[in-house]
Amino acid sequence: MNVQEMLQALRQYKPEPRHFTPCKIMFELGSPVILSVPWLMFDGLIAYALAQDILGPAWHELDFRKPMPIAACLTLPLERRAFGSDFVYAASCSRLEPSSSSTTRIRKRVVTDSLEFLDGAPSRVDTVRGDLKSYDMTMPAVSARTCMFHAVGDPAELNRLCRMVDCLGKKRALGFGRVIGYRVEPEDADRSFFLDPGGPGELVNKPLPVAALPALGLGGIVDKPAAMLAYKPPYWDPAGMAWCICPEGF
Amino acid sequence: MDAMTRDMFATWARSPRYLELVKSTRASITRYISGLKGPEVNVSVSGGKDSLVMLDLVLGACPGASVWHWDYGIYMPRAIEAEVLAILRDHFELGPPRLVVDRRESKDPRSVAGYRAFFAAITGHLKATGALLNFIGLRREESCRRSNRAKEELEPCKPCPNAFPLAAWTWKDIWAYLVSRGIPYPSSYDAKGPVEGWDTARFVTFFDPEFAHLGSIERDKFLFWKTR
Repeated sequence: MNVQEMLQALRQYKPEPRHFTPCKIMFELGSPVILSVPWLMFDGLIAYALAQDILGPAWHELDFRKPMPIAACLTLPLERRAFGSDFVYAASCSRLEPSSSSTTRIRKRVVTDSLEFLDGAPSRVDTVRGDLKSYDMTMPAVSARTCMFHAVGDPAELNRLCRMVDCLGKKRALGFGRVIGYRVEPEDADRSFFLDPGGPGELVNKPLPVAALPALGLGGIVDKPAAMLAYKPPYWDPAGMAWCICPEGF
Repeated sequence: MDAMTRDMFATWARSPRYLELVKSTRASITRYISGLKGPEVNVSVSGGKDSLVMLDLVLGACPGASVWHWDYGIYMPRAIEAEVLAILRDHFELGPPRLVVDRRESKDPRSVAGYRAFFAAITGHLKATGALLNFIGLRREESCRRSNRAKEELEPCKPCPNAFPLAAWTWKDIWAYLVSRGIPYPSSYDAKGPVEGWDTARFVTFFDPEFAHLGSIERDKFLFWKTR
């Protein structure tokens, strides 16, 4: 499968909006989660699972040094809320409970055994500096029993895609963020944007772009704290960052 | 800082070992500055906990000492830099001309010149003020390199010698001093302390690629995501 065929396959996926309903997704965790910001985004997680599902074995052929516009080609089984020509998904950030943050130390060391058999191998490996430098990284880890998301989407499709998620967060290959169970349940209210909508403890539940607030009918929260954050997948892409109202409770 | 941690440091501040350490440090500082006039003594302050303790001890012995602070520019969030300047201004009542603030000017994150400018700036400041002694809040406990450097509390150096009177202090001593004397410190410690531990929480640059191999960028993204 070449790149064009992959993108075509991603574009062909069309979810059924009439099945969209508010739902709660809860992952049960078996090991601490390593996060780069204090939350995970559910639409990012679903985009990852869906791309892997559609591409099948071709997923493993992707050259991650040359990122493809995977998220831009995908229509996730989640409700889109439009503002201008852009949109946000009705999918919340994670709530890890009960959570306790600490640090863990991770060592990354280049495997120098048998390097002499490689073409163009360096005559001397310097593990102190340069490309082959050893890393001794202190990373933040959150210990929690459950990881909760809220979304408006197709519950059957979300259930199918969540089955593919066996780990959450970073350093999954080292055993962090292991998922030992999950549930997708219908909810009485949409909690994708606000944790307790209309209630006294109403908390912003995902980064909401300031530019989108009038169109989304959320002008009342414009005075809340804002920061430069991404609001839709791909979350790793700095080009997707905008001035957003911050998720609260972190 | 939570109440239990604060109580722990306050208790340590009453221990005979700590009280003896503070007494001997004050005696060392008095010995070092004897015969020097106020402006001939310089204190280098990063804004971290060690340098704030250093500053308090030196100003107690030599109220007229000059103070030099380095602003890390793009690697120091403006809100945290403002906190440091507010501490120097409000708590220590420092301002120009006694307080000199030099700043990394390069806005290119890859530029090592921005970092090296630190050494040129401190040397230039010491030469310009005619300082005869420079106090640095360096501790042996921090790293092997610092332990080797601070084997002696006085380091012969150009243009003037450096003094490390806190060389023998531990992290508990530092926090005990800050807590018992009510010295304010940057809020980044309150974010790092409960996660990393109060013994390892340090005041360094933020989102700095120089320390990426130690995971500092990952930690900063997690703890200081609002200032990214």
